[in-house]
Amino acid sequence: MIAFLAAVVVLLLTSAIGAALLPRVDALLRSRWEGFALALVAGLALVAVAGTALLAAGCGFQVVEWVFLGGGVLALGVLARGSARLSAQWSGSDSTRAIQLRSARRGLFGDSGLSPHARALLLILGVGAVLASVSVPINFFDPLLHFAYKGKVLFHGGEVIDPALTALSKAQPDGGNEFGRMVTHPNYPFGLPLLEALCARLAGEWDARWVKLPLAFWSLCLPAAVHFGLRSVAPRAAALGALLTAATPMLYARDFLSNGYKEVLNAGVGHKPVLGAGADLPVAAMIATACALLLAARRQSVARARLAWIAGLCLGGAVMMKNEGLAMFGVVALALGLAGALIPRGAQRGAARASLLALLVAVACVVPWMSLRAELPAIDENYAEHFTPERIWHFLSGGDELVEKNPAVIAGQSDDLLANPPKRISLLPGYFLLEFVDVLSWGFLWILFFLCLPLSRSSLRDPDRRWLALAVLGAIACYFLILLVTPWYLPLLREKGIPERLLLHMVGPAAMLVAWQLSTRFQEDNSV
Amino acid sequence: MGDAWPSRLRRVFLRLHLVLAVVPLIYLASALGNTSTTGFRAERSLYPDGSYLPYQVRNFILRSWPGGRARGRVITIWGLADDPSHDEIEETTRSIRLIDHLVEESARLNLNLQLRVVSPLAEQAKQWLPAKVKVMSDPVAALQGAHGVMLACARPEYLAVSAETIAAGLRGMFFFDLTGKYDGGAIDRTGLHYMNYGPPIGPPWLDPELLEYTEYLRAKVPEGDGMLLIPVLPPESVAGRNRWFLFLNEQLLPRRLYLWRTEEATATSVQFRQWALDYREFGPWQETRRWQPAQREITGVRQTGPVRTLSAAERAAVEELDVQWVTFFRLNADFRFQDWETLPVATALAGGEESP
Repeated sequence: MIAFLAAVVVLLLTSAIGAALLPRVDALLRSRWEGFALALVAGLALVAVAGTALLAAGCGFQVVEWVFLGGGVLALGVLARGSARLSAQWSGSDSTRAIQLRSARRGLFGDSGLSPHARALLLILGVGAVLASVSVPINFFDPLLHFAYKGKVLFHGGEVIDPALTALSKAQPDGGNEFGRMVTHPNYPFGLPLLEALCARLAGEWDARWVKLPLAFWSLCLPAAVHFGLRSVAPRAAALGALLTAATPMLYARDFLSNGYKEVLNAGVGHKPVLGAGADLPVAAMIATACALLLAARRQSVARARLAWIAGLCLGGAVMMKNEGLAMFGVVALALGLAGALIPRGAQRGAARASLLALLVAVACVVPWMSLRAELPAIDENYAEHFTPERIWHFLSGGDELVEKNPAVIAGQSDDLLANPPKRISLLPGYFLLEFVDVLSWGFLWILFFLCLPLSRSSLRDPDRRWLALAVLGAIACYFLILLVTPWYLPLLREKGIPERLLLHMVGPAAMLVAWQLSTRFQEDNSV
Repeated sequence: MGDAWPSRLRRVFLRLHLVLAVVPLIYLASALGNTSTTGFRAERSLYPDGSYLPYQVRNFILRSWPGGRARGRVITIWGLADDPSHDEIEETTRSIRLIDHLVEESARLNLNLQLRVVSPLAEQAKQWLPAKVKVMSDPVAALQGAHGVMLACARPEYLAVSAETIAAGLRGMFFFDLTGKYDGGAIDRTGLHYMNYGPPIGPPWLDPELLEYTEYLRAKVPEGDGMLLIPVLPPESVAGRNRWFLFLNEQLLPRRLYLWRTEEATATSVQFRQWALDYREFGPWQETRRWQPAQREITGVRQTGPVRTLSAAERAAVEELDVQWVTFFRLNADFRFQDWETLPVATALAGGEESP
């Protein structure tokens, strides 16, 4: 019980911190549903970023804990004061703004253009995802060994530069000690472990179910963030975006039912998890929220700077969740640059400045982690080493698949494969194509995305649609290149859900673009 | 018209996408329904059963008595159906094929294996059972004088036979579990060898014996102590999932667990295989000898303890790393108490020569 209460406190304080960051609701209208989602994701991003920065500065986890508690209490005070001001200012007022505000704050979904059925669907899927996330204690390999282990190290008072995380051992030619500590992926970021450890520290015990409570809300938050981002486009686009996102099966499970109805009997514990303290969904939620806030900052002038820097914070938050978050941050930055969204001229001056501010804040968030990361050992995923023009060209021009990394070949059981290795370039495009048409994981999201690319002259003139499209296309290209040079046996990665899990990172921007384009089309059709 | 069809196509896909919201709805309802059956705990019962390969199991069983010692052994087989809920049996049923394989191999190698079958479906199966196979009705009576019992079907009446009854009835030492459903720890405590040749059920961290051994170590080893993990022999299983030490390491924090060349051992499955090959080549056990601890805890198996003396490199590591305990283990596809032994460092250093 104490573990549950502690997790609820962490959740409340994190949301309060996030809510205190957001612009006042009377300045920037949003429903309670959107407000909660934005506050929670922003709060989680700030806790992860600031916590990592403190650890990188050499502070112990106890300092992180006290700063979190202090920040949370402070945020609650700020919110209470803001709330009192809000009611004093607007209650009883009949001004247009007051009516708009009351409409936005009515019920859970407020002024969103969602039908009652759509609201019910969003609610059921969101709450169902939260419940499913905590329905069993941490029960998957990556969440257990890559993240919970590190969380436990922090919980037990360790620091990041702790032998439990750094004292790996390897062959010693000089006959030195070859025994060391065990840790999987020591240089994975500390966002998730840190949040889990906060719950455990507050409870005084590690409870493998409740430490992940703050991490149970990603699927609930994602559609709300998309909705908020598209508010500045059109109410219809916002509603459509939220529904598109929430209806995407990959937010809950991958390949569910692909082996028939019997998978129903193992739902929740099967080997293809998405919910439940893994890192891919957090990256997706952070990227979606960052893009939504950035879009809002670019398209309207109210609280622009504040929205922009929270967007940057969320981009930084994505980096704290998983190493791939860094790649996605780079892709978004590049997309903004290539789309011309960073050039401060004419009517786009404010939008470009907001984007630059977001990127600068994101860089500032990432720097402490990068310095810390340099001190941590990398055991097997040093992609920077493999990302060379020669290697890319080698595989592009028909280089053989690395069959020597196939377990059967290592065991001497697959001489045929060793003698006739397939070309990697002949495998990889097929893997991506299969994903785009895998309706049990994605619905028709990717098909719609490709059908909705902004190719018309009017849509191409819009820098926001350009950068959204380029971000998603860039992410696909980036992951294609990463898998092209991967030092592992590609079919084995495929078995582990790659590139599926990677494509999840861009589900928010993809849904935003599709909803935007579809709502524009519908308007055009209706006007005809 | 030309402009309208892409728009219509998009609408169709949009509607289909929204209809597919039914997939996550089914998933979430099933996930909550399934986990509610175990009180919202992750348990092996939530995972699907797998199936074994009869010819592979034949080899495993015959290897249990190496060097031709399988000759004249009596094996009792409990159950024939692939699934306890099945009440029909066919020529292709796995256990029928396994019996065929065993009988054929016995004839080929002149082993004179004797097989006893207990199953409510035995009459139905008689047409496919070799004439040499003896059909019996009482599972406990069928144990008498047998060298091993093989649980081929997890029917409740077989699972209900206690480990003590099995140990008392058997003449030999082997319990072959092809279902993974019997309590392996209970078998182990009686001193029998629990040989789980069934497919793994659920993830490794839910293995009941691993969980029990973790609890045992939590009680035995104080927090903060160091433990040196020593593979007695090269791993018998090189599947990445069977890296039991990873789960012990996670569960036993803040105790300090040390292993040989962890950079490879803890990385991907592929690197772990290389680690196993390297350990085979390194061969520290060659300069050591096996010994028997005076007393073993948790397991009832006495004669094949996993303990050996320490090599020079291992002794140096004990000094350097400030460890208080040494855990000897054999890495098998199944976690068994008998494969693991944790001793105070002084006992391990003494190597059975003297009482510390």
